Amino acid sequence: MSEWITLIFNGLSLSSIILLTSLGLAITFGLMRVINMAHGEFLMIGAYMTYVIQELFKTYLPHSVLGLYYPCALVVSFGITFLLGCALEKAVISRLYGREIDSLLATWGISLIFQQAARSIFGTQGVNVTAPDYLSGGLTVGACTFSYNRLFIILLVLVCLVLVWLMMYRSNFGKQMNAVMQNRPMAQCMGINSRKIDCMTFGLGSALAGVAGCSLALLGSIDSTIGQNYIVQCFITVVLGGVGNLIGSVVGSGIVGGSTIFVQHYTSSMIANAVVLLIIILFLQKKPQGLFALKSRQLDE
Amino acid sequence: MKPLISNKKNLCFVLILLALGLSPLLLQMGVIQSSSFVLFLGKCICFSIAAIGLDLIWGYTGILSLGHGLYFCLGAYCMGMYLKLQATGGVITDFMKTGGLTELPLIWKPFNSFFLTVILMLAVPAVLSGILGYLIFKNRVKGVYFSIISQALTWTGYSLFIALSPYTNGNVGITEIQSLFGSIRGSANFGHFCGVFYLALVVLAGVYALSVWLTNCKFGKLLIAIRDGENRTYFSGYCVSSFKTAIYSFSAVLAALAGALYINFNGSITPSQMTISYSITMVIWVAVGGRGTILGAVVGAILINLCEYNLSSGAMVDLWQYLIGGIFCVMILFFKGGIIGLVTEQLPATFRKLKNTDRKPVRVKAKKEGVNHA
Repeated sequence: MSEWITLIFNGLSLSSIILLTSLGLAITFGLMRVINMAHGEFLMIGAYMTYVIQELFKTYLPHSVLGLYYPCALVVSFGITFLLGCALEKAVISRLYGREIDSLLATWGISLIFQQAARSIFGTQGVNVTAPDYLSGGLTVGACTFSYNRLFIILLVLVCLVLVWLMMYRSNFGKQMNAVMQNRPMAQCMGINSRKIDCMTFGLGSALAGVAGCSLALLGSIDSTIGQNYIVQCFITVVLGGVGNLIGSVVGSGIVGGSTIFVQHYTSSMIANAVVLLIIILFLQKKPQGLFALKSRQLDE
Repeated sequence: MKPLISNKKNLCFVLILLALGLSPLLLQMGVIQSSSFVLFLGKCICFSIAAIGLDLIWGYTGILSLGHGLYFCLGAYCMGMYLKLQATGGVITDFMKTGGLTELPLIWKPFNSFFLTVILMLAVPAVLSGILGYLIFKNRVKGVYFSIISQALTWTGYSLFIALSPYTNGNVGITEIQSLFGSIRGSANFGHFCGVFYLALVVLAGVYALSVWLTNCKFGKLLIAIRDGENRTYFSGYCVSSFKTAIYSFSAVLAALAGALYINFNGSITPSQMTISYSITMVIWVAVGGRGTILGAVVGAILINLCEYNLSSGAMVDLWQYLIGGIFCVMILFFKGGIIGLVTEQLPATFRKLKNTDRKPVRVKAKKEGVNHA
């Protein structure tokens, strides 16, 4: 019994990380139709920011407030990746609307630059973040132990999910965003500054990756390839869920994370990766538009 | 001879071929000092073959595959296992023993014979890509969705090759292999090296000729039609999915062929060549050279690799990554036709514009004079 609970908890934990990363992708890919291959690098930047903030706290502030570095890091990661995302949108992405494949390739070029920058600044060796006191240890119930940092990540994802939902469907900005993405010329006619909305939307997607990176920093060492390990899974999650809606990403990441942990329990992590991806690819043959596809009679979708 | 002279692109390719062909001779005469450079040129030939394959599906048909590393590696592993078994005399290899196997696994048994190896080396990628392509294209998965699925496929292959380490030697891959003709290292084995080098060169020439012919006949026109208006091609009564499957399969075979030749030069193959980043590197070659022209793929593959060879050693290694990322990004943003497009279209267009702006003031002046006269 306890073995199963641990398994489910691990599945939930992996799903939540995938979900947090895919949320950003769901926004940039699903709404803006931009394939951001540098999304993984925003993850990496978020993780490195956590490390930097930790080091800054260690050197300049008294030891008693060291634990506060993590909330600070969350905010800083969000801010930095948001600004970087906006800058990237202005410089590169804005020239590539309507050219999906080109956006994929151009952002890959950007990701090469980001990765090398990380290697130049932080070296090729991975760096480590020590979880603050209140996140180390775990909650023991019966024979199962739930580590606090994984519980915290699940909580963080829930909060992010609610915030994104509120922002997308209940705020003025979200309404403008949806309007621009659905019918750009009409939205412009209504007085919406579509360039600004594009920029903000892309920045938001990147910032979510930054937060995801911040949470990943708690789980293991950080190096320049940290983003690459997640990007494939996250893209396939977004496609599996169906592009353009939040519920698809939630269900998709649940399936990917859960089944990976489940298969991993019986085999190895590499085999689990392969098997899950293969099953999803086969499933996508049955439903190429994903689980929750927007119904459309358009020929070119 | 006539198409050679009339078509500048083909002429250009022949010149590249000649330059490549002369390089071992120049090495022998002592004009080129470094033998590793000529060895690297050999690898460039293989990269060009893979790039041509990628160009056929991306530049001509508009299918962007981010997973050609998988087929490249399949070809290389097939050839590598044949060469490895030649060296061990057809019995079980060291890494299989360490992996706990007691005799040669069934899947590697056919690789004792050269004939079967060549057939399987081409058939395995062809069949695999054929099945996948049939399923994917028949369900009308296209555009970026195909790219994402192909990259997931490559990741699957990569994971499997690492996980099944008793059969494939995991992360390390198949190493310490001699070429088809025996060892190619050292000046004593120069004959062997020439054998492999010219074999690769002949294959490149053949692949180039075949691809140019393919793209010029009706089949090629259809590919371009699919790229520019897939639905219109459907409505014209063509079965687009089978054309797509055919060309995807063909390009997978070319990638496998390139991989099989590559391992002769490199002497080892690791799963790192199966990763997504390696597959996208291939796309970079085509994008920089110029998609939609066979020559562009060859030029891009050779140029980028030569730059990498010269820059990525020593102090420049950091700079190289920035450079390649930047070049790639700029090429995609501003020069869709790559280097070939730049030389054949964009530069002449700019010159024409410049000439026209020179002429304009003259014309205005003439008009004014006319007014004055009246």
